[in-house]
Amino acid sequence: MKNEVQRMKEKLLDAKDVSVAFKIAGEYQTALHKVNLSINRGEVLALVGESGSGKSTFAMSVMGLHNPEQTQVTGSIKLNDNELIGLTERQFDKYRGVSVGMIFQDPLSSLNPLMKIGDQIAEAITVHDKQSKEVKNRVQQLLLDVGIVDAKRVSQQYPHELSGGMRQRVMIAIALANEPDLIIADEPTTALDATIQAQILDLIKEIQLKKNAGILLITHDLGVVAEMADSVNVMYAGQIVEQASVEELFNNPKHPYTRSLLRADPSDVNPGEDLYAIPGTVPALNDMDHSKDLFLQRVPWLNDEVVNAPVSEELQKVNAQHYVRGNVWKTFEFEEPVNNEEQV
Amino acid sequence: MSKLVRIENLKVYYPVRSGFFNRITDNIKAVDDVSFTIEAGQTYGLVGESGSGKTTIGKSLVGLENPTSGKILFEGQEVTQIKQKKAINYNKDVQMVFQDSQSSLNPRKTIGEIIAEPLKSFGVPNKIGAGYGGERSFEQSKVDERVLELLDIVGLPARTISQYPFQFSGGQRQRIGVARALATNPRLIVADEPVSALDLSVQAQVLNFMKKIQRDYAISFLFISHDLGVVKYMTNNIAIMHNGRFVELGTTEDIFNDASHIYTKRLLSAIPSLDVSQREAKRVYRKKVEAEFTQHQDTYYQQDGKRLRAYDLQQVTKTHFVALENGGV
Repeated sequence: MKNEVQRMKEKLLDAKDVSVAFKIAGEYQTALHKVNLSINRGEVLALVGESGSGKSTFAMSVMGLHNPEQTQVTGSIKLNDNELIGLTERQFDKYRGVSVGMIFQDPLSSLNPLMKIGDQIAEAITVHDKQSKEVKNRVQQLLLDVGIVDAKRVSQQYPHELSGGMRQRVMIAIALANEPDLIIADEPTTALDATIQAQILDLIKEIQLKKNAGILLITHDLGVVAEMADSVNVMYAGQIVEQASVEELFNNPKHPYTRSLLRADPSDVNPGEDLYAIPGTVPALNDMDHSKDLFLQRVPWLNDEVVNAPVSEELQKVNAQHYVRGNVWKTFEFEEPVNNEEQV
Repeated sequence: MSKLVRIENLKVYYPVRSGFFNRITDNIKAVDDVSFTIEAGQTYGLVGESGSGKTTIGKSLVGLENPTSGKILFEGQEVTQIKQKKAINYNKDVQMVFQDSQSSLNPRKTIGEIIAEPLKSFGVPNKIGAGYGGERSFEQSKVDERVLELLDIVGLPARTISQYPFQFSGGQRQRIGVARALATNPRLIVADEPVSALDLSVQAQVLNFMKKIQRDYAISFLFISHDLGVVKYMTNNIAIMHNGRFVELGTTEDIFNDASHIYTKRLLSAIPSLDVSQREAKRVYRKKVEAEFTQHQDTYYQQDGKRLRAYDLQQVTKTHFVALENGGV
C-alpha cells in the first residue's frame, strides 16, 4: 500500500518559469509568462482559461511543437527528470508519441483522411518501435481499450466513416499506442455532444487509473474540470492566477477571475437574474504588462491604484492546497447589484 | 399568452436515390411528425444531439427548407411553403442568428452595410419593437439612422458602422448578428446554437443581451442548443429531440425536475456538474442510465429499419408530454 502511495506521488512533469514569446512583426511578444506547475503520476491537472490565455501555448511547449525560428521558449520543463527545453527536433522525437501522447480537439483534422484507422494506429507504434512484430494484435487491443468493441471492422475503415465520438476514441488509441507517461488532452471533448463527452471523459479517467499516467487536461469548460481534475490551474493572459486542488477551487475560489468565471456559468443561475458578464476583453499580446495582475483591468469598480499595483511573481499561499496571484483576493467583493447594461 | 407559431405534424424527408433509374428508394426522416407551439414573448428550447433534426426545424421555420408535409402556422396563417411565406411578407417577422458569427457575416462588408441589408429589403419601420408594423421607409437617411440605433441597442459604439467583421471579437460579432436579426422588427428569432462557439464570459454577455431584448421588445426565441445548462437558463419550454422525433416535451421545470424518458435522463445525466463532491455518485448514475438506455431500447423505442423511432407523445400532465408506449403505463 505504501508503495502504491509512493508511486502516485512520483513527479512526472515539472515546469519552472516557463515563458514563451512569439515573434510578431520582428518583435518578441510574451504569450506565456513564468508558468510553474508540476504533474504527478496518476494525477489529472487541469489548465483552465478562455481563448488566448496561453493554455495551448504551454502544451505546445511540452510537446516541442513551437516553430523555433518564430518562438522563444525559456525556463525549464522536465519530464521524468529530463530537460525538454532546448532539445532539437530530432531529440524531441524520442518523447513525442512515446513518453507524451496528445489528444487534440478536432479529431477529423488530426487524423489522416486517406489512411485506414488500423494503419494509422499501427504507424504510431512502428514509428517508434520498428521491431515490433505483433503490431496487428496491438492495434486491436488498443481499439478494445478505448471501448471500440467492433475493433476488426473499425480498423479497416477511414476516418470519415466514423462518428465524432468514435474518431475521438481512435485519437485516444493513437495517443496511448506507446503507453505514454503523460497524456496531454487539449479540449478533448469540446466538439462533441454532451452524452459523447461524458463517455470520452469517463474513458480518459479509466485509462488514467489503469495506466497510472499523468494527464494535462486543457479546457475552457468548468464542468469538465469539476468532473475530471485532481488539481486546477486557472490561467489568464499568459499567467497562472490560481492553483488549487479541485475541491478547494470550486468550494473556496479566491482570485477575482476564477470567481467571475464561476459566476458567468448559467447552469445554477435563476433564469430571472442576469449572468455576470466580465466586461472588456483579454488584452492584446503587445499590451500585456505581466508585472501587474492583468485581470484587474476588467473589474471596473476597483480604483487605478489597485489595478496598476505591481504583483509579486510568487503566488500567495492560502493553504497547502491553494495558491493565488496577488493580494486583491483578500478584499475582493463583487459590486451589487451586478450591472450589465453598460457593457460593451 | 397568445400563440405566435404553431407547428403541426411537421415532416422533412430527404429522398435517397439509388438504382439504375435513380429512383427514390428511401427517405431519410430528418424531422418526423413533430408538433409544438411557440408563445409570444417566450423562449422555446429545442434540445438534441447532432443529427437529431433540431436545425432542420429551425430552417423550415425561417424558410430555408421546404417541409415534406405538415403545417407551420404564424398567428393562424399558414406559412408552410416558401411562397406562402412570401405572400404575407413573413420573412420580416422571422429572423435567424447563426452559431458561427465568423462565417455568417460577410467579411467584405462593413458592419453598417451588414445591418442595413434587411432594412433595404423590408424597409425601415417607424420604431423598434417586435412586430411593430406601420409604414416602412426606404430612404437612405432613415436606414443610416436605424443602423445607429441598432448598434446602440447591442452596445456597440457608432464608429463600428464603418468597421469590418474581422475587427471584432466573437462576442461582439455575435451581437452584430443579433442586431441584424433585430433590424426588421421580427416577432420570432431562431437562434441556432448562438453561444456554443463563445467563451464563458462572452456567452454571458450574449445571453444577458438576448434576455434584455426579449424583455424590451417581447420577442420570441426558438433557442436551438445541445447545452442543457444554457437551455435551462434561457427557456420557458423545451422539446427534447432524438432521430427526428420528440421524445419529451414540457415546461423547463417539467424536463429538469421530472424527466420521464430515458433519453432525456441520459442527456441530463451527461451535464457536467460543478459539485465536485458528487462526481463519483454522478458517474455511477450516468453508467446506470446508459445501461438502461442500451438494454431496454424496445421499452422506449419502436424499431424503424435500423433507426430508433420514438413513440408518439402521450400527455402526462397539462404541460408535460412523453413519448412512451401507452404513456408509460
